[in-house]
Amino acid sequence: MSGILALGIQDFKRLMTNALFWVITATLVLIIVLINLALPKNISEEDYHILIYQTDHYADQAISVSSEEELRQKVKENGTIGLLGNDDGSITVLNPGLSEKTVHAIITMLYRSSNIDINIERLNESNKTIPFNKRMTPVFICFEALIIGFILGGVLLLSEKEEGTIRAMRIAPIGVDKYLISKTGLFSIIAVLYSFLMALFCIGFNFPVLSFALLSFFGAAIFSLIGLAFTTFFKDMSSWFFSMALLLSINMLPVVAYSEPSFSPLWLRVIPSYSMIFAYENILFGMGRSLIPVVFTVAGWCIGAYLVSRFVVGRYLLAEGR
Amino acid sequence: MITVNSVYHDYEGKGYYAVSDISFSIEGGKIFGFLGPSGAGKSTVQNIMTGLIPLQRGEILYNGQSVKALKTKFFNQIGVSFEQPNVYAKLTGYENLKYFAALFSVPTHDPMKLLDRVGLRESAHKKASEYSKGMRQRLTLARALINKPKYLFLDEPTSGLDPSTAASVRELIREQRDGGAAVFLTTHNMELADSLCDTVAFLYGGKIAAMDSPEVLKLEYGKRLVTVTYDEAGNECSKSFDMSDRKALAEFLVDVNPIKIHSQEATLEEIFLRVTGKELKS
Repeated sequence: MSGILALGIQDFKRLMTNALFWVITATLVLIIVLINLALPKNISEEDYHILIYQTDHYADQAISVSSEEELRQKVKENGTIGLLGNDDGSITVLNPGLSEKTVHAIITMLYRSSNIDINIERLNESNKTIPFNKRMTPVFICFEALIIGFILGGVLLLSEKEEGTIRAMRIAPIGVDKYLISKTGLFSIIAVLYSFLMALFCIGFNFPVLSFALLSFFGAAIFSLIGLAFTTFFKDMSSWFFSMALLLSINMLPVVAYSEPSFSPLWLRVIPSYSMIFAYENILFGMGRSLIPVVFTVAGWCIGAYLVSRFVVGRYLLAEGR
Repeated sequence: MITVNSVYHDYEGKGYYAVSDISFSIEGGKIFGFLGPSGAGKSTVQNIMTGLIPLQRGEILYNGQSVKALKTKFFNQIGVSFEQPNVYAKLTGYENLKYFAALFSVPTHDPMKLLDRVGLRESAHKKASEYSKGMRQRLTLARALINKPKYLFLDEPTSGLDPSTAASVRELIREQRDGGAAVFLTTHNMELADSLCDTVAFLYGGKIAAMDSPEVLKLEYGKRLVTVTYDEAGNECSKSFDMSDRKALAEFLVDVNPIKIHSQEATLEEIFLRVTGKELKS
């Protein structure tokens, strides 16, 4: 235990002298400012009219246009939905690229029996609209606080390689478990702190703290472990940086599903940040969804990442030759 | 006791051995010098012995236990000082030692006392990045000693040190030997080996060319000489005689005006040249 603590403390001291650590910390402040002051509260209040041509559907937000060409042009320009009545009585829905699921949902709503009132019920417990800027908080937590171990763990590991201290570690009685746990633990603690700061300054403190802390701790652990295993195969910062940036870009893809929830193919759902973004949304905004699937997903990723990292770091970094 | 039996190593797996048929043993309380020019294979053998390079062929035993079967705990007993100083540049000298001390599950030295012994007390709280190469070398040596190792591996421990610091490092190494440690010293500095080692092995071309105590090697391969410095028409000249040829020396002394007479024995450097046919240059 003292070995783990000693490693963690010294790694923290090394982090304090690392410029990238301060860049990430400055980014945290920037994101908080961005969410609170720069991002709009609602990005869809400008124009949400439905354009129609040759259909018998009329609603408050429906605007009739005079030709099919005009309809097509305005749908393209305004990024809205157009309903085109065809000669055979059928309807063509023109849209700027919505998923099929979304379009079907809209059509189902529009063409219900006209004598039925249509009500919209929001499923979040607090039963209020989440402003756009606040809604982006889970995204920033995932792509700033949680990946801190992925980036800085890699930086520390590469500096150990470049300084040659990794050779001294190899002949010290440390073992791969201590090495991994000390680094992962350190970055998870930092990630919890950063996530809390972001949540506190962007949303407030009205959320289940324990769930939030556990998700941040183990979520960050997953990224740290993947990062350490990944970085093991690189010799220096320059060759690592591009590959790291590429991998992080892939990890950011689930933000598409967060913006457009109906788009959630399997390949996107298997990216670890997918579950975490929605879990943060669930915790921070009280969406009322069960957290049990998230617990299993995060636990599975943690165990998998640990086993892979233990093998890779143990075999290719620490126990080379033993 | 460390036992090395018929160790071979082929880096590329193409049948070219960097080291071949290396055999020796080191008892506790002895210093074994592994001497040879750069590229002879000294560091390769040390790295195989410490587990940094996998043992391909042969046998290395620590008190009868194979290096291949060593558990993590065993590394509590090993100390290694690398030729290239490898310390955490962003930590201070003191932090570097404290950090490594915490990794061991055996009693360790007080980092500050150890820094004092290697002459770094005053720089203890400076970052290692501000140290000179010699200071980093001493810090690496101090780190190797932090766990009071039973098996100590030193790779060119006095390289780049000034004479005074080199002398104190020598004394420190002697203390480890006197404390019962088996010391494996890798160097191309024959003077260092001569002053410290109980046994030396000459490594050349990946093979041991000769191995014994420095005294025995000198007797076996070296000639004891007497050098006479004499005056010849106002100029200082000198001539050497084999000590066994006393008659020639006596006749010469009658004919000249001697200024100084010195007896001298062969150095390990000269013996290395005689054994391998090559000079011992780094």
